[in-house]
Amino acid sequence: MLYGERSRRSAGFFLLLGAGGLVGLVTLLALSRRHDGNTLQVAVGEVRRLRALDARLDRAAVLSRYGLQPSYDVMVRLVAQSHETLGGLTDSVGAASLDRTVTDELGELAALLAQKESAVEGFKSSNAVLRNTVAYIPLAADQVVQAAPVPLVERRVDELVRAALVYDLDGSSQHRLAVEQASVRLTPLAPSLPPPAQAALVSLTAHVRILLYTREKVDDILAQLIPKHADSVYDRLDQTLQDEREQLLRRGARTRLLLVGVSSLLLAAAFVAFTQLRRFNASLESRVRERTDALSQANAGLTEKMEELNAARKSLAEASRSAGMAEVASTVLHNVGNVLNSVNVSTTLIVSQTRASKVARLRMLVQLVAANRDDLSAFFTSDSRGKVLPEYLDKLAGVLELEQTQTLKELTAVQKHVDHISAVIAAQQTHAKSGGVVETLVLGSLLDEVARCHDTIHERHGIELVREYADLPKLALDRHRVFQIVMNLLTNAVQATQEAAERRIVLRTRSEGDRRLVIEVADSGCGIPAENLRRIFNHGFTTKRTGHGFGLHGSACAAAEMGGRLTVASDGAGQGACFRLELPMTGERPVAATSRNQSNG
Amino acid sequence: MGGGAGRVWNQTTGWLVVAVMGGAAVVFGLLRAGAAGAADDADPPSGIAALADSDSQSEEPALPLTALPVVAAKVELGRALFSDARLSRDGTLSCSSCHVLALGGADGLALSRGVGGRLGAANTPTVYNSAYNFRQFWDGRARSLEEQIDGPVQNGVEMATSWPAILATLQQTDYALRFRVVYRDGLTAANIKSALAEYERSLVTTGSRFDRFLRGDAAVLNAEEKRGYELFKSHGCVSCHQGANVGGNMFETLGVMGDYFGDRGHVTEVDFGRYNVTRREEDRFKFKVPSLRLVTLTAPYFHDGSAATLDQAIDVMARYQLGYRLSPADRRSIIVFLGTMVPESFVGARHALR
Repeated sequence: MLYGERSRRSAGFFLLLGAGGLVGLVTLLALSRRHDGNTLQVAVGEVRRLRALDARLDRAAVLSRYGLQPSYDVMVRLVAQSHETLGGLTDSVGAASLDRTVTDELGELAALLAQKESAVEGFKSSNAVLRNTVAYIPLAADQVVQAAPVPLVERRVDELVRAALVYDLDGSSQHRLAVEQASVRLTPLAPSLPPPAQAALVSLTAHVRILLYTREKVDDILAQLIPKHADSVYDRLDQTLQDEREQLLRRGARTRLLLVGVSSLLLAAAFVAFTQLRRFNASLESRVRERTDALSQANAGLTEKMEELNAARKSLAEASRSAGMAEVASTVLHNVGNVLNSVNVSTTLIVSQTRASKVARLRMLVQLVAANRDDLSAFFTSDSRGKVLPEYLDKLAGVLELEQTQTLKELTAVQKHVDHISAVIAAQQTHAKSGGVVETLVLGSLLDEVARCHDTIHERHGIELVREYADLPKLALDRHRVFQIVMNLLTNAVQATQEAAERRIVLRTRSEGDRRLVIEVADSGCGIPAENLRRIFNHGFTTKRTGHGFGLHGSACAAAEMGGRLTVASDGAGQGACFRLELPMTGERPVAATSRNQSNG
Repeated sequence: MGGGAGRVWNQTTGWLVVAVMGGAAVVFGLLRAGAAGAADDADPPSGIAALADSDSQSEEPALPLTALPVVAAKVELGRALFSDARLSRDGTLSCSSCHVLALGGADGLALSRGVGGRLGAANTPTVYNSAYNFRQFWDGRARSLEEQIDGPVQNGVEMATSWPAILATLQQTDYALRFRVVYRDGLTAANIKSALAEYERSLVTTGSRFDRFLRGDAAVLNAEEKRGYELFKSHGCVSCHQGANVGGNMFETLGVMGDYFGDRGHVTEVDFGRYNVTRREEDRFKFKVPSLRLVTLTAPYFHDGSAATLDQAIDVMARYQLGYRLSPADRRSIIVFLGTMVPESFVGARHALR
């Protein structure tokens, strides 16, 4: 997408600019710190401080020299401060990292100060001795005079003392000579003096000697302490540092200018980036709006399709319901059809029986009696017909009674069938596919009822019906469903064995475990080929010429509805078949199976 | 997909740039506005440098002592270390073994014994007021109290150990924690020296009668004491024994007016004094002038401990430095005067040798 490409490149550009700007900033900052004139300003200050300390040290030395400052503590402190300041100055110069001239000049100054420090130590030692000697010479002189109060001695000693003190103050070679001469003039007097005076003189001369020695020494040291070239060293260093500072400031100004430039550039870049950002933001929003519209449209289309789908689903559901209903209806019809068959058979039987009723004979007998109304007693005693009439009447009564019994039997069966039909229809209507009426019944009786429906058929075709019923207690079963299933199975079995060589149907009930009930309808009929075994319970599958294919499917469904199942076993064509209905059992534990063989043959 | 990612990236970048700019500007401003140069944590001036910064002339050669500013936490550490024998190689010797506080800060011996009973080279000076000495050791080779500590620690005849050994030992103790509390970098050789020096700086004997006298209280000294002071001055003792520490601020030859070493004999290297440091002929036989503040407590005297009593010491000084003899009476007055420099009820004077 061209737009994305552009924005990516623009992002890269800004990032680069930002990074470059930051690096530039940091570099310039570092540079500006280096080009800071402050460190050098401090260094210049330190040089000036050293100079001041130097001057104060010189002053203290002179004061001590002339006995005006008896304590050396001041000098010691000044030296220590000088030492410290030099250290600070070296650090400042080092931090500023300047060129060689400064370092050389600083070295010169350091040497100067080191020399001064050692000179101070020498000065203190020598000066102490000098001051002490100068203070003692008058005392020593007094001791000599006291020990030898001779005017000559006095005069010569006095001369010496005066010369010594003057020389101490003045230090000129002329006065040094005077001291030496005065000392020489005293020497020859020594032997003539008494021992204490001699000792005192020795002491005096020694001190004068010390004076001569140390006075020179102190002057030399002071010259070292206050070197003439010191000023120029300070001046030069001061100037150099100032120059360096100027340079640094100029460079610093340039750096700062650059810094401002880079900062403004970066700020401008930031501003541009910001405006770009806003533009991008606006375009982003419009695109978002476009997309949202497209989405809503798509959504609307989708909703339409969803509705169509729902409608289709509804019609499908309805269709399936209708199909279901159709199936249900067909099952009902099939089951009812089964029963109606029996009804038909029974009613046909009743009609043919009634038609063939011997009641017509009764009419004939009545006519006979009426014809012989006039002479009934002679009829009954002498007529050949009349004589057998009571016996014949008796027999006729018997036949008519038999007819009545048979007709009643058939009519009762019809009644039961009609009940069943109503029940089936009612069951289908009220409970649809679920539920059913559970009754407690004796299974054997139910099966017998079903068998009775087919009695005539069994008779007509000579089918043997065997009953093998286990001793089961009363069970809670859905009576009509079980009736339907068994009816269906029995009908099939009858049809299968109609043309078979061996015609036998076995009805079996037993329990497996204490939870399962098994009802079997086994026939010796035409059997079921293997390939049909799987399909036999399918809806619409039939091998009968006039079959609908609903019976077994419906039975299987009904079995499932009761929580059981319907299975079939057959060894193949012509080998008979055994249909097995398994149901969950609720009732007492059953006893062992017994079989009752009854033949209707 | 590509466009969306590009836009998000761009947004982040934009804000990144703005933020970086803002931050840099703030940093830049702060750096320019900030004062140049950090104030370094210099130790407060000690010793003579702590005296009032004035060149004012004083008629008196001696000045009163003032207490030095110290950091209490460091003083406490130093106090503990000062009497800690783990600073010696075999754990038998501490600073206080030779600088016994109750004995005026020294040990009353001519020469002290170090680890293994080895004899030291020079007489142990007092630790009191040592902060007021311009140099440490008789030959002045240490410029500061901190520098001085290296001497006995590393000297084979004294504590005969090394800083690594000491640190290894002390790291195992609670010193490690205590030092970390007071010093930023914890237990180091430099900090141990700092603590010890700080403690030594606290050992200043202020408030003596002599100091009160110097401050203007004329009645605090009796007649003999005053006479002793006058003699001390008039005989030139103050030429060298001057300043706040009554000495300790200069070098001087031992044997100005006479050949001290020639007369004493058995000259050894330690007798060369300052020469051992500067290697200059004029510095031969020069020693740091010791302070006389607690001299009445710290017999024997001189770098070789050759004067057993103060009387003897004064006699030697008069002969070899001043070139005359002092009468016993004069010497006694001077001694009496010197005693006034010890503060009354000074803890170090409990077992003073008189």
